[in-house]
Amino acid sequence: MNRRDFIKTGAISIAALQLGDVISLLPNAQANEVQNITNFQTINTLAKNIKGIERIPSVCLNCSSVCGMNVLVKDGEILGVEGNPNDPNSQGKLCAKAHGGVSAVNYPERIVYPLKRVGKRGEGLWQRITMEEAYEMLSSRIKKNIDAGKPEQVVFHQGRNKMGDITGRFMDAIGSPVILNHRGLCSSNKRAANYTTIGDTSWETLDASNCKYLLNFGSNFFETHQGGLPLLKRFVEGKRKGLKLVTFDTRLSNTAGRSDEWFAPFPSSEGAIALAMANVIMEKKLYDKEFIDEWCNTSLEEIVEFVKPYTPKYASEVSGLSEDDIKRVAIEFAHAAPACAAFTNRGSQAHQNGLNNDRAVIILNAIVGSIGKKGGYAFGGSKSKGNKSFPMPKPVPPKPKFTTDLEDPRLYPLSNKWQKMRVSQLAFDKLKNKEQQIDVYMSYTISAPQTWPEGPSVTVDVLKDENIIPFHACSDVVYSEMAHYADLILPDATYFERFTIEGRNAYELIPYFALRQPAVQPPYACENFADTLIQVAKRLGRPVSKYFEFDSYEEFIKLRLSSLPKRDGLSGFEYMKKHGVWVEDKEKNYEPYNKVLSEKQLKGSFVKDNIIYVEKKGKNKAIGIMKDGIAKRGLKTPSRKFEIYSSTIEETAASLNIKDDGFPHFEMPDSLKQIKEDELVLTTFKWNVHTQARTTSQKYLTEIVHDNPVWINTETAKKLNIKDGDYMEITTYRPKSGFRASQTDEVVGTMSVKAHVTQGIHPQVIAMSNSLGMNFGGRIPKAKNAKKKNSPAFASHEDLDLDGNIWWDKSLGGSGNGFNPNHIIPINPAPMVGMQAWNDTVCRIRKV
Amino acid sequence: MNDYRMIIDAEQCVGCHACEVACKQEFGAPLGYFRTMTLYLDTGEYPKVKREFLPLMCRQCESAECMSVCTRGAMSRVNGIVEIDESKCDGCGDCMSACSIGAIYVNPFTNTAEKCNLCSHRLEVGMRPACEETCVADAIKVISSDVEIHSDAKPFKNAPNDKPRTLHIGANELMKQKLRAGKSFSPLNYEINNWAEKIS
Repeated sequence: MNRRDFIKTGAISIAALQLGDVISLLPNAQANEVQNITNFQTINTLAKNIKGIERIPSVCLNCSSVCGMNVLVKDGEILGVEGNPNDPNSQGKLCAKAHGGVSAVNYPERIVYPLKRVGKRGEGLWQRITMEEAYEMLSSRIKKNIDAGKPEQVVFHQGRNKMGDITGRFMDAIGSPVILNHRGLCSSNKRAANYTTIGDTSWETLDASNCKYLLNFGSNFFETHQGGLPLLKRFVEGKRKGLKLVTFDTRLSNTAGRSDEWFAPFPSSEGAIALAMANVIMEKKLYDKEFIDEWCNTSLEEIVEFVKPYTPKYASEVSGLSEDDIKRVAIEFAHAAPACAAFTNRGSQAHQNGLNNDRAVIILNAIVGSIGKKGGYAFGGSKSKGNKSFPMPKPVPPKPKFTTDLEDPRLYPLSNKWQKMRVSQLAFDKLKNKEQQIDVYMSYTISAPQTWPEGPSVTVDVLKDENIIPFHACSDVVYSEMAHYADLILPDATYFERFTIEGRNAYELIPYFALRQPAVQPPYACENFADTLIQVAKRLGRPVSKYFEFDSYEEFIKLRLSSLPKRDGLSGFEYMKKHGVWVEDKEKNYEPYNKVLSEKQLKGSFVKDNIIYVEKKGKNKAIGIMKDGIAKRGLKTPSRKFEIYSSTIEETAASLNIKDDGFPHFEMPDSLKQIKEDELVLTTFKWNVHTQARTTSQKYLTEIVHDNPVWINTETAKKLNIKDGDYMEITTYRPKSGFRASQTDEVVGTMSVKAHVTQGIHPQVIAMSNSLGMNFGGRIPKAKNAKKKNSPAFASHEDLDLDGNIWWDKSLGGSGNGFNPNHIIPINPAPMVGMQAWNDTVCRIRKV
Repeated sequence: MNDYRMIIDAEQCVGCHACEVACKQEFGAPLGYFRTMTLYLDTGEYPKVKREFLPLMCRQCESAECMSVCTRGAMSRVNGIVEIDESKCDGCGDCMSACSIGAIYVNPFTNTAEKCNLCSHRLEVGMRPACEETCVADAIKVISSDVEIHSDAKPFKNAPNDKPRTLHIGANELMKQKLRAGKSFSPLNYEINNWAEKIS
């Protein structure tokens, strides 16, 4: 019997189980063990089937970098993946996560039938139901709210969704604006800094292969970073040609550990370092006068004036780095211009002062003139064709004409100014405090109990409370931290089993897009959540159903791609299914701001104070700038120039009574400024083999990283008499400014964790990874060897590795499944934007 | 007839583990058993600390010890690669004990010895080995005999009589602290408390 036959047989035997039996999905639940297990380890390997293997071009989704891959299929079974060489971003390369993701498809504890909660929420008791019953449950509940005229009581919470085209359409159709996401926990300060300065894409697209000098403020692109693998590939090429990498990070990440120079600044001081470097560059006259005069919205003199207080001496005092290093690196960087770039990520932006930190770093590129240049801080115009590039099938539902404070928080006006970044880390607190009533909570690709600050406390309290969240439907692949708190679990398709139009900022600086397509069909009752929503919409009746007059998400995608011209004699959809990727026939987009506007673009335009406008829906929309009598595109900021001074920031701050002159001054967050000698800063990080919460069930990844002791500097540990592997107790405090600020050391939480004593961290910082310490999800995330439980919720097949080979199982003397740091990390949104200040948490530790 | 050999550039390696996971997926290798492993090594004192990587797998040695100790005639050299014939192997583990770096294991499910064979099944059909194909840093290359070898490429020996055909560029000798002659690669190398240089 081969594995496929076995699965088929398994499906038959499972089908014989009774609907309606109560199933416990708690990790310690008693159940009969599955008998007659087939050992599929040795059957259909890729190695034995490489000849004649079928290649289905698709796109990975085991992280947000969405690299092109070919899924390798034999007789309807996925045996592996390889990079798709046609993908211009990843160029045929894949990371560990991409290969490890294959195991999600046949994971023995995959949820394969819809389940309805019985007993109390969070008790883990379920009944298997049919998909028809599931559609009815969800649609009747939503309909009740539409009929009551309160569609905003229906909330959709998404993580790495990528099907916003259909989920957004669904929410628009029912009339609810309440879509929550996780951007405020991820990248919103970084995005806001790029919007205010270059006014363009949310993620810069470094031209690393042509770069000579990279100043990295807190990005760990060797291991994570959106678009990390495409950037890493080009970094490696650049390095072969002599590119120098200097990294500022409090912890020795793989990026820091492989940089030419690593500096560990005190957390949140990145902006001071960048401004001091700008100070040095201005003083030594190493700036690009032409770029500043032509393209900056402040004069050379104003820049000199602005950076004057930020001397290397000052930056040295706040960061702990040496003045000489700051000066030397600044000079080296400027000498490499324009083939140099200074960039950021979580290390610099996940602070209360992260917006200005990131703006300060980006400004370094402007003053040396590397903005948009070959080898420099490239961006914009490179934006891929994505979801918005293809027309939506008509009729298109109108957008709701109102917002609520849940998804559009008034106290954080920049959170939704450029794109929907929300401040979703506040959502559960608002619900807990009854600031807003909801009725239906739909969760998809999000694991808030695991990944939210105060997730294991505040989020779980709210998810458990049936008065606060009366109905929760969760679509997921495994019995996740989120699914455990649902009333209805919808068995999702994996990303190997569905369609999506994909694309990431284009690292070749030429627009492209890709198509994810099913390599196999979803097994058992599993269904792409998009298709579930289409079925639910049809049952909601008019007017909702009239926007969903297509049979499937596949048909919806096909309709959208029908706008593509024929290529190689194939329709857009057929071309994409064959090749997986579409690259535009365009030049590399350097200096997008210097592009001359065409007559067509200028049609109906007028010029006011040198800025070119067109009238659109009664509003004046800037489209360019006059340069020596030539109409150019400029940057997409209010001044159409690179903005060191930002009127948007000044005006927004004024509306909130925050004093701000619109320049990215440096000020340390109060908590860190007032830190005491016996206190440390708790920071977080990600590994190269995991995403936030959705990879621990993948055995080959979790084999590599399953435990996350807290990194502590050797000298600090010595003072506290802590040795490697000792347990220590961490107590964290509320921030001294911002949300729930406390001046009196109010405790957030305390936890006992293992210490990892290392030379690779700042002495006043401790670091703990996210992604681990799961409560649910099966034997791999729990690090518990066991025989497979005979549960009608799960797929029938078994993986023998899970009964004895989980070598990190504590009962075998292993290190276990790690810790979730989030119950001691306070909800801490930065001002205006709402980015979670992950790296501002002050704590005390003691040996236990 | 080809004469394949592997060249690994540890300086280029970015430590991403893609090669190992691709390898395990290729062969459905059990948890805890590794044809290839990327070792981590932290050296230096704060704030001057570096991290180094070393992808390591069977080095396809000349006059390979593993081949000479096999009493079943299950090992042979084909196209420069030391191959194991599954049908002849009885899982006795002699070859595993003979390897100075731990590149061979006995699969508990099949009871046969397994190790890197440069993905000869892929080379046969004109494909690249799984590790090489996915490596974002191009740190792993399987070459034929006619290709010129970088002068910094050196054999990585863990016993005086080792004669590796695979050559490494920039491999740190301290990585040998992580190896156990005669025993398979230890999964514990993944635990972060084993990354740093051991100071005796």
